[in-house]
Amino acid sequence: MTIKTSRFAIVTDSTADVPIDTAESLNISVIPAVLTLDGETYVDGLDISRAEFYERMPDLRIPPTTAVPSVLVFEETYQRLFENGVERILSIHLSANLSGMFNTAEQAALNFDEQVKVFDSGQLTLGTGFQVIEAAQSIVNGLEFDQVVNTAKRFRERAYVLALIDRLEFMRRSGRVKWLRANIGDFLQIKQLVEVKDGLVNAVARTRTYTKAFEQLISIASTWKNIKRLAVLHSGAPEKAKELTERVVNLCPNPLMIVNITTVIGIHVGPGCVGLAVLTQD
Amino acid sequence: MSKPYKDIDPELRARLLEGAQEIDGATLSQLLFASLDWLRTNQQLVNSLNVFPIPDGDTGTNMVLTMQSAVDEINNISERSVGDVASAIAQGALMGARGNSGVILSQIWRGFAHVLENEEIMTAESFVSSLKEASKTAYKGVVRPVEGTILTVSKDISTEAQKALDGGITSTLELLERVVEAADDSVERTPDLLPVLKDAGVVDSGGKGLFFILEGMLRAAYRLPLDQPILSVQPLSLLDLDRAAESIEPGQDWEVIIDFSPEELLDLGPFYTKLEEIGTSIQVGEGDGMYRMHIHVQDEKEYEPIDYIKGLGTITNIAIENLMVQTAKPEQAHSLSDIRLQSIEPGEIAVVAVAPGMGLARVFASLGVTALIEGGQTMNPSTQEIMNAFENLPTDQVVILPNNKNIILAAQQATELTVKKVAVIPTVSVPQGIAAMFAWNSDGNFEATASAMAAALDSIQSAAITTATRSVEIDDVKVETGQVIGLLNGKLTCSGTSIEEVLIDILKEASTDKYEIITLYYGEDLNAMQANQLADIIRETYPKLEIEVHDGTQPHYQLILSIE
Repeated sequence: MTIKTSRFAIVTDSTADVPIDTAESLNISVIPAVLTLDGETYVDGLDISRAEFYERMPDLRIPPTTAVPSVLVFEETYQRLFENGVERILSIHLSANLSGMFNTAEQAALNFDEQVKVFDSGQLTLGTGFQVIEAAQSIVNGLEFDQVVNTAKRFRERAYVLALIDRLEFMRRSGRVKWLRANIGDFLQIKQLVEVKDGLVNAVARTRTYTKAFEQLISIASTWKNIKRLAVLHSGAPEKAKELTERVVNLCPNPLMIVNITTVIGIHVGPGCVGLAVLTQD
Repeated sequence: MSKPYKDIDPELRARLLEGAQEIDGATLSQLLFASLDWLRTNQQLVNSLNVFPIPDGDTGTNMVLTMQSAVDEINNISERSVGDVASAIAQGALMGARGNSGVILSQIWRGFAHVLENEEIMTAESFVSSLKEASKTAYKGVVRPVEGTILTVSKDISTEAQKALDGGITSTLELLERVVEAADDSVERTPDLLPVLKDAGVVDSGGKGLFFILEGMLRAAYRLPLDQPILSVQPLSLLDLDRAAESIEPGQDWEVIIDFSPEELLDLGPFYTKLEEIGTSIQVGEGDGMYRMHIHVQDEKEYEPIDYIKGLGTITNIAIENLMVQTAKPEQAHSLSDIRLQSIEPGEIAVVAVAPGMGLARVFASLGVTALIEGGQTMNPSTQEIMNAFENLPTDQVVILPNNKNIILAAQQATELTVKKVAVIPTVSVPQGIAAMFAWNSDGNFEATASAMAAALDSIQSAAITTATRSVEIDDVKVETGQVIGLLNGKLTCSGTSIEEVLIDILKEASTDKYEIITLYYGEDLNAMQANQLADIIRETYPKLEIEVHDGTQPHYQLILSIE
């Protein structure tokens, strides 16, 4: 591990889907989320690979569940950074509306006075990850802590996730979205486009077929302007992701990221989904 | 057509005409009761005047129920001026309007009542003005008026009434005579104005219904019976026995159907009189010297019609069905109230859908529909029922999916009776309604959501497979009674001897290979295994397409298909 020379540090969790090499090169500390499969507990991305998870998911007898890491894990992470000479920490996490991660981090932060600022990204997966990367980059660029926070805030307004949900049953079971109550999708096959915006998962469109939903996803993406970063997301669907990549690769001047999304979100959306995380600039 | 009132004793007629210069409220009530009775007596005949050889558009039933609602409303009022009675008729017909013909009928009554609003009695002059206003209002109620329908009949009778008045007629009864004759002639001319009627070999059903309403009044005035149809014998192919079994009342324990050839020419008068002693729901059909008699009888009387008809000729076929068992089927266990519906918050956009069949109702519920109205092919919901569905929702933004071309007008009429903001999405089939649900967004902008839902109708093709209820040739498709027929986007497209054959034909006609997914909703006459076998046949023909099979439980249609 490189020796931390910065006075400020960024902490996030594994649901932000920041690639490991990016996290290392920008000194981002990543707290892994926890999931339970058939009674056994795994650490996201460590004990179980994402590819393996999505492969096993359809055959699980008991629906998998996720857990927020304990307050202690956050405290230890913060503590270690302070011991290494960090003065202030910006801890960026997934939407507080959708997970207890933010609240757990806040509790841990109480032990460090004003030194830890916990930040609700209002996003999921790389919608959060992009904010994390931009904030970390601003530290590397030598900005003051307030400016780093402002960077995160500015990009929070410019991060957006659009996804195609292949099977609604997982999302419905998760109970995280209000519009997906009761018996929606009991009979007909439904492909659902969703967006993550202002901390919530909203319905964008519903179609009967994957192809129609896929084309709609691309047509929405093609309206996006001033794209700074773009990522193709998928839940154990590399072929679909490849197809999507080919269609959107020209939308972004920077290299495209392709991410098999965090198992913690995968549990709630099920396998076979694709999506885009985008960050725009002025 | 026979006009029994023409055979009336001239002396009696003269006396009656003299005594009926004007009509008061009580008389108008009596006349309306007679209208309803006479229309009901001829209900099956009006039902059978169906352009398409498919079991839908029960014009007779819809008009009877609309008139029933008018009569109920008359019974609710205490004031009895002609204006009061006319207003009650208009109000009752408005709320009870079912089907397109019912809605137009309610508009006729609205115009009729408008002229009489403050009148104590109706004179020949005001009668003529009422008829004129009635026709005008009916035309205005339809976006694109079609001639050769009930509208034309309403116009023709108004013209004739004016002529009669100008010719010096002062008795309202004599005017009514002329009006009934004009209605009769006008109905007979409808096939000349509307080619589909001519092709199908029928007159317009709504116009015919209006004729019976008027003729019922005239028959009452002449003290003629109202419970025995004049045109008592219909062609066999028009005899719609299936449907008769659907409305079973107490005392109708057995259904007996007898085919026979009489030894001598059948004297219908005594034949009917005898049958009426035995039972109810009597229908008689004739074809090629053969007769078919249908009757509902009480328990332990089921053999009486057989004994009686044995004495008249040779019986070739007997069918006896126990209706007590039929009605005891546990269908009540599956009522719409068992279906879990999406809850809705004030300010959100709710969807009301008309669903023919429990299975389809469940599918609509699974797409987020907030309220369901039962109905469709055979039973069209009334304006009142639709309006109640709007009123019961906790939000004031509502979208309605009629899912049948014969319900759209009633839905539109219901929107005018509620203060809520309602958009009628003109879905003419269940698949269109389902397609519209995919564009629904409860949190969306109302106008944008409604127009997105309407736009979604074009994204799919709807098809249906049923059994032809009679022989006909329409749009170059020749159909025999009992054959399987296929409709594509509401148009008769093909016929054949098996569901498989018609299914393949219709998919070919729909250019199915250009689409992605076919959804089959199988009706109450098929089971899951049969439906899955049909799905397998489609898979073989279109291996690239996705096929989904769902239980629609719809009556009459073995299959409803969505191709998208």
